[in-house]
Amino acid sequence: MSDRLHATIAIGRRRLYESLIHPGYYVALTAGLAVAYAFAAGFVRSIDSSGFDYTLNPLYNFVGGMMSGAFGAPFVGRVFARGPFLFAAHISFLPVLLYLAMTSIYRFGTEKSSGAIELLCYGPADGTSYFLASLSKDVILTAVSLAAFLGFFVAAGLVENLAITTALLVSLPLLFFSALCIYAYGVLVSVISDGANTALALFITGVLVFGISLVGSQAIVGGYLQSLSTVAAWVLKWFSPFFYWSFSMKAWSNDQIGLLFVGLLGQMVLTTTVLVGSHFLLKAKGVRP
Amino acid sequence: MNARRLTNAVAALVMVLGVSTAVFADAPTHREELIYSIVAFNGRDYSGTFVRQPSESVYLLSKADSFISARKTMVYFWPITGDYRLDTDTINRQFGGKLQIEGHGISRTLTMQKYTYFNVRGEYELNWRVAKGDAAESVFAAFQKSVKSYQKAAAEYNRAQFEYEQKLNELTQEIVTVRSQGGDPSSLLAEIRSLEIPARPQPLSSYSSPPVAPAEAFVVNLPAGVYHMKLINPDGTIMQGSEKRLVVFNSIGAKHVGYDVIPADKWTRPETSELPGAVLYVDGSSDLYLRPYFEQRYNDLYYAKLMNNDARGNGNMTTWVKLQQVPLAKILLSAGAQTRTVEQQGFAVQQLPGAALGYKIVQWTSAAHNKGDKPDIIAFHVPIRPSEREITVAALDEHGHPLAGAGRQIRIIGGPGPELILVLLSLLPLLVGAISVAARARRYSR
Repeated sequence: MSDRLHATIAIGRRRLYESLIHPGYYVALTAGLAVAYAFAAGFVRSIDSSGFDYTLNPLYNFVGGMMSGAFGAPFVGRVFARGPFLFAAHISFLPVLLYLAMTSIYRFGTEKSSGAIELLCYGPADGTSYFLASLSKDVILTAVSLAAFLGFFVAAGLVENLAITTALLVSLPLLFFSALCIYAYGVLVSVISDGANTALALFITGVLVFGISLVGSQAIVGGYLQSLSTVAAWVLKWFSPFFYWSFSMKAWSNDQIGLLFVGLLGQMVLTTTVLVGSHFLLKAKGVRP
Repeated sequence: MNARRLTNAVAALVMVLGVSTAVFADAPTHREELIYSIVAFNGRDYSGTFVRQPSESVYLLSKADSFISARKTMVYFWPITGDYRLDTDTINRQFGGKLQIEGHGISRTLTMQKYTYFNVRGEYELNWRVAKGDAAESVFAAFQKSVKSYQKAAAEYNRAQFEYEQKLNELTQEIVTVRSQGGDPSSLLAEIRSLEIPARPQPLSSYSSPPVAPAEAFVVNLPAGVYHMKLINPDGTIMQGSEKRLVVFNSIGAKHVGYDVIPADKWTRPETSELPGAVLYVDGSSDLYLRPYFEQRYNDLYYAKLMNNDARGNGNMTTWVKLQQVPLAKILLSAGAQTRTVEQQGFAVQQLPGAALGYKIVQWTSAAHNKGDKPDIIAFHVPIRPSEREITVAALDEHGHPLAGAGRQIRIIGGPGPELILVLLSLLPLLVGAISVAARARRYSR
């Protein structure tokens, strides 16, 4: 076993243990499950004799109205055509994703500022093993969280007679790999920033830019070309984890299973590229702030 | 005196305001524009739209004849409906010349030709045909001839029917008179019996949509792709403002089956289930009536623009377009271990007697048929029982084979379940967290 791998496993275990004895992760997971519950319960209350009508429930009326305005009414029908879980999975995973990504970035920044990483690097560990350990912890907790959400949806399906559809089962691995890519970006901003606050600000800005770019590309438009900085958005999308997620979801809904895996592969290539880039940057820049 | 002055001033003010209202009446501004008039095949029939001068692109379906003509006319925005309209009364000048289309290795120069389109009646609803050039004239002439002969036959029938009824009345009156005088009307009765009832002429049944009057346009039929098009004047110059992008698009994927979903308690407001594999959640309060139809998927933005060039759409989404009802279909219903095939039936909606509002849906009977009534709903009846949790629906073709994308689940949601379980489950991580934090605190307190 190489020194780096050994260091990664040792630091990763420690980080995982620390996360499990800290209430933060549990609060984030509970928040996610509470959101999932709200959407499952709200869906049941939005059903009448003719089917799903989002105006019947205040939560769905709010969400459905917003989505309808931005993406068109058929989009809302399409999202909830198989039940609430596909949408609920994405929304409820957000608190966990943001918690894990932001705490890792913050800790990387503070430990870098305090010289803790530098101290660690005097031993067998290096900067790369440090961020790989942090990433491993996030990956494990993400997998646990997604499993918890799936368990909750199965329970909600049994209680409320809601279907666990293939769409949900497909979306969970896609969410997992998208999260991985977002964590990789978290590592990158931690490496290039000198402090925790700068790294967090960069991360939030990046997520917002990628998010807005995706929403902009999905919005209803009047012309052949979308007016919102089309060229910039086209370039940006290849670096966006949301693009590959959206690409795969779209491929799946169009029964293009091959393209689904292309999207997944793209996501993995992007993640690997960002991590390799972070490795070389860290090697060049060092672990000192 | 002052009061009179005041009255006059008020009257003058009212007049001024009245005049100013008339002067500033909200009349839309008309602009003279070069537009493209489009009659395009949209997958199920032909529809018309026009492309305003500021619009960059024209949208057409691939592998189907569509018709484009360029004309100068007045365009105005109608704020009440929020769309652009044409004022063809003021000016409506169609341009000749040639339409040049280039792109995707294709270069075509089209000349105008006469065309007509029509839908021939057949087993399926969609049998659209296009006739071009002389064929368009002859198809339309043949149609007009058949219309004229039908009108002639109908006039002949009306005359014969009138004469028949007149003769019948005369004979009836004579019979009454003879009977009142104690005579024998048997010869008159025999005459009545010998009267021949005029035969009603057969209505025109060749077309479900008859040929339209032939018009001149550029007939465009291209493979999918983005092209560049422009109008070349007869003198070889390019018509100013005629250059557009021509987006020719395909349908996406194979045909699937969608359903009209008619709940018994809202039969005038049917819903649709477009997405293959969708789950139809209902509260179980009323039965459902399903009508399967073939549907095809298109890019949402392109299709919206095909139907109305000023429309908005979502370029990253697809839209399902209803093509035609599935002919001779059957539906396979599975609930638990029970499976049964349902046939399409007619149903009548009957108002409930009394002052209270309400209606019931009953099976349409042959007695109603004899009275000349038609069924209000022709569909597949799916009884919904709140005790059932799930029903699986599959449409079968006339040979009993399952149709692609026709499977649906109906889930009956009787109301919220025991949700306390879910609340407790969602709080479970907090409990685990509290235990682990407490365990750690205890460990370090020792």
